[in-house]
Amino acid sequence: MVSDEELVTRTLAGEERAFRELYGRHHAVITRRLRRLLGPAHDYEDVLQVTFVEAHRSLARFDKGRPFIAWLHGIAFRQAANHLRSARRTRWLRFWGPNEPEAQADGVGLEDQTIRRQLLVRLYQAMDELPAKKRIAFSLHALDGLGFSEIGELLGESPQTIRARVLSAREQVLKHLRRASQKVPLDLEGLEQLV
Amino acid sequence: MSRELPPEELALEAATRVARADTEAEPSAAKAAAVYARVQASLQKPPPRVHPWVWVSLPVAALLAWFALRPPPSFLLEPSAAVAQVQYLAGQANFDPSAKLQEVEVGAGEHLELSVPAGRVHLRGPARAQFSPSQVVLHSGRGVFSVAPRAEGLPPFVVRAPDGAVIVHGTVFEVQVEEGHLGPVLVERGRVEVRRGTSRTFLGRQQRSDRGAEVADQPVTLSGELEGPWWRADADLGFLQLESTPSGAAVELDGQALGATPLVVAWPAGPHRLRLRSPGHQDLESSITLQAGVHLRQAPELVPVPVAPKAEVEVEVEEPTPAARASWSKARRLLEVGRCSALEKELARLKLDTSTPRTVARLELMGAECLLRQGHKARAYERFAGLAARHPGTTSGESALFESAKLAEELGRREGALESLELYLARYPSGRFVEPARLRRCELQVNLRRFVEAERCLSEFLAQHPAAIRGNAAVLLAGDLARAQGHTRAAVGHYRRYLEQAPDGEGAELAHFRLAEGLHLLKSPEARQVMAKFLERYPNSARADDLRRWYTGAP
Repeated sequence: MVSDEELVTRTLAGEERAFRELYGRHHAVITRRLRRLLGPAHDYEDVLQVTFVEAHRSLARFDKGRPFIAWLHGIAFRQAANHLRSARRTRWLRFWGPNEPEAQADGVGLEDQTIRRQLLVRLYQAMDELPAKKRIAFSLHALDGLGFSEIGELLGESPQTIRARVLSAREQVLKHLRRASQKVPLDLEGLEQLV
Repeated sequence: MSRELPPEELALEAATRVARADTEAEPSAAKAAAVYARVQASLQKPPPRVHPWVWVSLPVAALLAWFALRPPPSFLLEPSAAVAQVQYLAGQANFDPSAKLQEVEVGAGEHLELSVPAGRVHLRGPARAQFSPSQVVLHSGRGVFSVAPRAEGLPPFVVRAPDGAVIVHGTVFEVQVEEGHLGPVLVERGRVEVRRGTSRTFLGRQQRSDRGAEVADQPVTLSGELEGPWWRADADLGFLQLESTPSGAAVELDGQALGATPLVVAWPAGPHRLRLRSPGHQDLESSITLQAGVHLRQAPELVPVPVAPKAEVEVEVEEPTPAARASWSKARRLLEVGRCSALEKELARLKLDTSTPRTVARLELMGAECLLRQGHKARAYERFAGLAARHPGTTSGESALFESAKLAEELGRREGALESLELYLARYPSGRFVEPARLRRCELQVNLRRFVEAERCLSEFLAQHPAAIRGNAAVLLAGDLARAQGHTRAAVGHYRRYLEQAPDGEGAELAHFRLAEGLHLLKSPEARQVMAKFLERYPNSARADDLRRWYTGAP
């Protein structure tokens, strides 16, 4: 199989098919990361699009000594952070997010669907309160299941920094969830079944 | 997974699982192709360029920066009479031999206020300086100089610092000298020219010139007037150190206001008339004689003015003079525009001319209110609390106590707030704020989860104020109390009663929401109907979110 680096060289030489191949190889993983990071209330497709546009425009600056996928992740997270920041600025404009979270799980009862939706709303409301850097670290750790050193490599930070960020984010999220469940208690039985 | 996990941990675990499961599936090929098509389309367009407004605003910003930083035109500097030159002379040999320099050392944490013919010097310890009527040599430490225009026939006021020069143009400024070098210069008012070696900088109001990275505090506000007694240039100076109990008493020497105790003053030797004034205390007047170079320490105890034990508010009438009236209206204007430090000075001036505790309290209330309006809640709280303690027998003291209770609550000191309210109700049983104070006390007890007391408090309130304007608020509070205790059914009853009594009241939205919440918890069939009514009536409410979720989640 042709390596990513080779495909980059070919794209730079003007072969559009090579870039399409790069997109085909990596869009799925980037999509998954972005969907988890942004949550259902944000449009991940926009961020995915600008990520690949930005990647294409800055291919000339790509350092072939580094894995392409890590470089792409860097761009994707930067764009996601920009997106979150601008969304935060205009949050007061939206009364209800454009996409109300829909937990899509086939064959799940209506009752469960409600709990799942409620959980997702609470989780992403809590994540909305995190600064972008913390949110990214938290999402990669809690939702993508990556270790501190893996995340550190992706983001170019030390594992200790990532660990501190993740722990602090987790505290904040738990605090939010606690507040939310004090206001409206969750159905613990239903939760245990989900877990 | 067991129930031992706290609910929020359980919720987090479940939520991450749901989020993971929901995003596990690969995106559909059609969607991926659609996004790729959008990528292609974006790549066809040229990359975004810098917004044209940026190009327009850059030269404007540069122009503004130049305008702000350029030295002032000479016509602004020339007319000033008070030009002081600051220069360093190795050793003291080159000083004007006619001047008698007195050595002063100020210990750490202390401060020294000196009067010199040109104005005032305020040294903050640790500092070491020498001074004569016409010059000050600051060897180390910080000094704030308040320089008035020079009187004819007197030598110019000279501040000497180890290296460099500050040319003063009639102003209030601070100079810091560290390890033999001229440190930061901070200008409170007016304009100075700072000379360091061959470089010259002009500083205006609220600007500073730095040597290192040290950050100077806010400039000290000098108390009293700038016009000092124009004593002879070769006068011998004595020292007067004043510490009164309580501290903070206003000091007047020969009729001139010098500031508040504790303070040290350098003053011409000879007999003088000293007067100390402190609100709530009898004025103290005495004659003192200062001897050249001798340190005289006085620590008088001020006798409090007897206060009636039951502090119902007294009424006093003080006929203001036209000058005082002008000062009052100036103070009110300053309060309106929120210039608190200027207001403080005006108030200090007014305070010296007044003797009734009522007026003093009113002045202090204005100062505290200014701080509050400017958002300095913690400082305002201190002021209000102090005022309430010092002047319990005045209307201002009464307002201050109530205000301090409100502020304590806003600052999160609920216990303190409750104590203040109890004190208020004990001290002013028929005061102006009794009704709100009683209700607020109940509210605080609910918030502090003292349910038994809160219940008693509420039933007392409703009995004492059957026709109170806040009667409805009490019903709402009773609802909250029942809700906090988990008595949902009772809470629902109270909210219903509130909505019947005040369908358009201030708390109607909250009551409606809580009613819906209660009915939802009680699984009442009426819940959906009430929710629908709420959403119809308050579609933009911040609470509509939660309600909508229950509404959609309800069976």
